[in-house]
Amino acid sequence: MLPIYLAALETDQERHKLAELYEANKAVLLRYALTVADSREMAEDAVHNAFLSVIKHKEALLALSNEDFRIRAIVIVKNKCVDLLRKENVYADSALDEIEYGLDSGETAIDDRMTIHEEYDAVKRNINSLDEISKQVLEMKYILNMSYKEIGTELGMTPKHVGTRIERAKAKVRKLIAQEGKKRGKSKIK
Amino acid sequence: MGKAKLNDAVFDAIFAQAVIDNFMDELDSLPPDEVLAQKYVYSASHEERMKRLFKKEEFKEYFKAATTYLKKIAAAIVIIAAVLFGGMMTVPQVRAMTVQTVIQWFDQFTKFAPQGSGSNEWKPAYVPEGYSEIDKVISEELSFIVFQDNNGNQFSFNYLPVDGSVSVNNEGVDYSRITDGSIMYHIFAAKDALQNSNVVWEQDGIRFVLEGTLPKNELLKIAKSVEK
Repeated sequence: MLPIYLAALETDQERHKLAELYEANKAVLLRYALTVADSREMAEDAVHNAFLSVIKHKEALLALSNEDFRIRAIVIVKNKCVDLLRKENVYADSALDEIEYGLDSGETAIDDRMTIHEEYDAVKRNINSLDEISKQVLEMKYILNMSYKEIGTELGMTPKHVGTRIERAKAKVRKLIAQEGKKRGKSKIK
Repeated sequence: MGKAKLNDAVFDAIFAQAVIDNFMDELDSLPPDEVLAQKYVYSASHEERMKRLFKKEEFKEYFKAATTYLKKIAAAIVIIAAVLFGGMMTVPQVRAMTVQTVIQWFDQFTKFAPQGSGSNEWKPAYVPEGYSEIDKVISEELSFIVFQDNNGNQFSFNYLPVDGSVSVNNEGVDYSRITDGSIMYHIFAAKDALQNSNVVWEQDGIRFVLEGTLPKNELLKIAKSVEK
């Protein structure tokens, strides 16, 4: 009988950790889910689906520190919200892929006008203007250090599409910053 | 590197850092967990769903771990038994005894001792409506398939293709058995609706365990549909 109890002890710690991680992070996960989902019900579904994903990859995820797990779980929950929204066809009319983000005449490339610090502040300011799918791709790329292939698998895209999303997101932010600069230029002239 | 490329490289670096800092700034600006817990509260149905999810996962992991340990013991016992009885196997009565399946009630677990061996991929032909396969492991030592419906309810189909042993929890269950043709199905129906029930049987030298919170009749229907 001893091996059975040993097995129980070994899995006990692992078993409880999953529930503990849920209890420790559920409020913050719901908070983030509600920023993306279009209903409370959808937000709760996203959290549930996120933990199904956690269970699937639990060997890697349970080994993370509490802080790293929280960061990873937030990104996963937001992914699940995007999944659910896509199923409802919310992003069907997204025109991101069709818009070219070049500079209009009169707009100056940001590099010639700004210091690095000003450029950094401008980028941070405009990142939240991006659509949810693009933000998810960026977070998975730069925060979780996932490859294009891994991101594509999670979000149902080809690696090439992931790369395009990232480049277009950068282009959009650059354009928004250039437009800010154009407005500032006009107000200075006045 | 030309100025344009340098500018692009600088922008790319700034962009990457801005994405990270934007995320971390938002995370750091959140109120303490205790405050968040007051404001962001789940519905009772969601909490119940999560509780079931963790319970099922716990039982699945416990079963896998217990099976691994018991297989090691069973292997040791088989080796010892083979050494002790090797010379006696020519006696018909001893041969019959050693191939007979024995069911023993332990304090907490019912154990099925080895009967035969055989290895092939098996699955249930009948799966309740709404359920689909979400996980599958096929190996020589232990195989299982996990099914789930849209509400997160799961049941798992497990089998050992060799001379291992399995144990099921017989506390808090009602035991019964049904014979269908040459197969005897041992049913451990949980008294608590949130606890898994089990159906255990042997077929063609393979040992099967079906577990889930489905009604026992539904589990039995799935069990009877199992085929190679």
